[in-house]
Amino acid sequence: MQKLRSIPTWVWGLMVAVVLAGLSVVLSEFQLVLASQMLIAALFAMSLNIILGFGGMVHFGHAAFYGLGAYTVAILTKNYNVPLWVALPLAPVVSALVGAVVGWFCVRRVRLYFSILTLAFGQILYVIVLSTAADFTGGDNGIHGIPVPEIIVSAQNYYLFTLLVFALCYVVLYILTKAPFILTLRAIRENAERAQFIGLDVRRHQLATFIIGSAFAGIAGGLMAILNRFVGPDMLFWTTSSEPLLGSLMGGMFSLAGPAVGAALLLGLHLFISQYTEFWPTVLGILTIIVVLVAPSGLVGLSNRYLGVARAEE
Amino acid sequence: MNKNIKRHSIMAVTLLLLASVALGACAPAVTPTPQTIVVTAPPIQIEVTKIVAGTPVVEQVIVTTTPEPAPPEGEKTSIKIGFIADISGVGYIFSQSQLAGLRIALDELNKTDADGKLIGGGILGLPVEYIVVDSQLKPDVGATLARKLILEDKVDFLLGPTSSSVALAVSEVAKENKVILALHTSNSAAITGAKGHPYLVQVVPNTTIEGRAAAIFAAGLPYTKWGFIGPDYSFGRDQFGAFAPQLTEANASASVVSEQWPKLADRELTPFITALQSTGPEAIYGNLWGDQLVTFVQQAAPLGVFDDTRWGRIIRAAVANPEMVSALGVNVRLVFTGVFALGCWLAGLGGALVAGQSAVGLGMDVNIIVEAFAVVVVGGLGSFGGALLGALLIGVVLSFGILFWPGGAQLLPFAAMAVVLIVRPWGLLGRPER
Repeated sequence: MQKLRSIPTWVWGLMVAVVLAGLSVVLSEFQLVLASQMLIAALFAMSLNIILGFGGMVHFGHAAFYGLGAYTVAILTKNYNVPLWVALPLAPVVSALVGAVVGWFCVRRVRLYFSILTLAFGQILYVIVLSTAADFTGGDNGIHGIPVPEIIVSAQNYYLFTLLVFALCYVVLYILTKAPFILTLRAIRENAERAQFIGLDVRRHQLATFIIGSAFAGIAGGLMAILNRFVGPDMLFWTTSSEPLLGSLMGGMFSLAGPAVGAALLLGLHLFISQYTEFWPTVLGILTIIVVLVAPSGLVGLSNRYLGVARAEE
Repeated sequence: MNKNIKRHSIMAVTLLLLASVALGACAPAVTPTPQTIVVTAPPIQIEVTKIVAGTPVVEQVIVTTTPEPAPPEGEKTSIKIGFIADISGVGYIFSQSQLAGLRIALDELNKTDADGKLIGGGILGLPVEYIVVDSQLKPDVGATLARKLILEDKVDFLLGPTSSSVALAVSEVAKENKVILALHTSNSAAITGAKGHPYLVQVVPNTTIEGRAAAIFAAGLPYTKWGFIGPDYSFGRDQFGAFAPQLTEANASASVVSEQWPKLADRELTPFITALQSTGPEAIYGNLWGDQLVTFVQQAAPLGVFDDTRWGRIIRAAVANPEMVSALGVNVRLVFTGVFALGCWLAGLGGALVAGQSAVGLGMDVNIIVEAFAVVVVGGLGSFGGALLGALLIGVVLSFGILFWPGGAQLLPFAAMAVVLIVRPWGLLGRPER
């Protein structure tokens, strides 16, 4: 165990990346699509967890920013013929901008009030996309037939592309979690009042967190739009927020990788169990209850405890 | 211990609900003033005897110490502490815990090994002796006893009483004789403020700090008409003096509608309680303490001062401070489970009613829960009337919205919810949290 731990993190990361890239040769086409979905779900969960786990703010409207990213890519490429390579990087920008406005209001409230306010804003964005701006967004039908560049049309190439984006995001977030910013954020999460007394600008830190989380959700949404070739208003609906929420819960909220693992696992499990029963929500419910009661720090927390790895965040 | 009881009691009366449980539990502990107290602690033995001579009852305290080997002239063999305690009267409960605390500390300080060598450290390496006297909550008795302790018993330090009035009198003697007085309970602001001097150590927050803190807490509660009851002496007066202006400063709509000042020794509080009730306060702030607080709760309960339903009181208390309520013997988990079940039952009732006018399906929850949130938030969390008003408002807004602005109608409930949360997070009929 001691030897294992002495291997630097980046070597581990590289090994995981190589294995994941290697899967593109091994897996079938359908499995590759599923794997891409898992990566996107993982990124979405990680983006939420920046706000939820590290920031300690329970966010019910996160799907709105995921959906905004997806719609940005869809509208730009479909309606304005913007190349995907330009549209995709713009997705997090749009999400971050809207996130800045929404977040500015939300961080002025705490706990339950924060959560309900994010829910309200998320639903406002949902209704705007669904009906208020229906001419622009395609309303309930959404936008179909998003043009995709030749090079990433094949499932294999798209998987590798998603993996590349995911890896880049992971590295950025990893660096972020090691930065003083996240330490400060933890101090705020544990005791906002005290943090304020030692001179920290609590709201500014929380707003920055909110914006960062929104931006990464935008990337995840953009990737999903490309994968599905279509976007719909349901991507913004508040129940979509529960997917990364449950993923974070399963994986463990206090680590970077936890939510990614949890979300990917949930997606895989969903598909696997759906083969046998139509009662997936029941299974999900029972699973959630077990995790919350037995392993509140999630699977990563559980494995860390049993593998004797020092707990990263708690 | 003593401070805890006092602070706890202040909060209890403030909330009008913890008190009955807490002090109901305390009540059996009240015992009549003892005739004889024998305090045994090595290395000295003290007897405090109360002598009853004729009428009216005159109390006199005789302190006898066990004989000990005469110390060599001019050399100190021990540190002597004189404890002026308020043993008889309403301070009895407090004095007992104070004495117990003193004994525990001295047992540690005076610890000796098998050879009789001091290993507890003592004070300045010397063993510590103490003498206890009873000031009976009377300032003049306290001052006399303090003089006696200093001049006759030659104590090195004084420990103060419970009552602030006695403390002020004793403090004067300490200052005059340049003997350090430590106060552990009495905390009138005047003691360390206007009447402060260098021979004084105060280890508890004073009445200004307490009064203001209580006022800030009270200002955050959903009550504006406050009644007050407190003992008519320096502690009660000083603390309320800090409380009242701070209350109106922290919450402009709050005011004290009635002040009742029973004497510290009063055990018949019913007239004060009925006077308090006649002004119809929504909440009562009190700084009664010790036996008098127990008496208040006992006499106020039958007069209906605490008449919310018992369940309502427990639930609100459990939300405000689950640890405290749990420590008082309430099964908080069971309470919350009950509330949860009640909420579920009402939700089920609502569902049953809607089944008559719309199709029943699995997705019903997803939309209604957000609307329910909107209604409750707009109306005010924790307000039944608010929920009613919120539902009416959201329903009307939605209906008119669909008529005049079909594209944006669905937006309105959420927009209303967001605006209320930003501008007035406690909703239309709710009360600000803090």
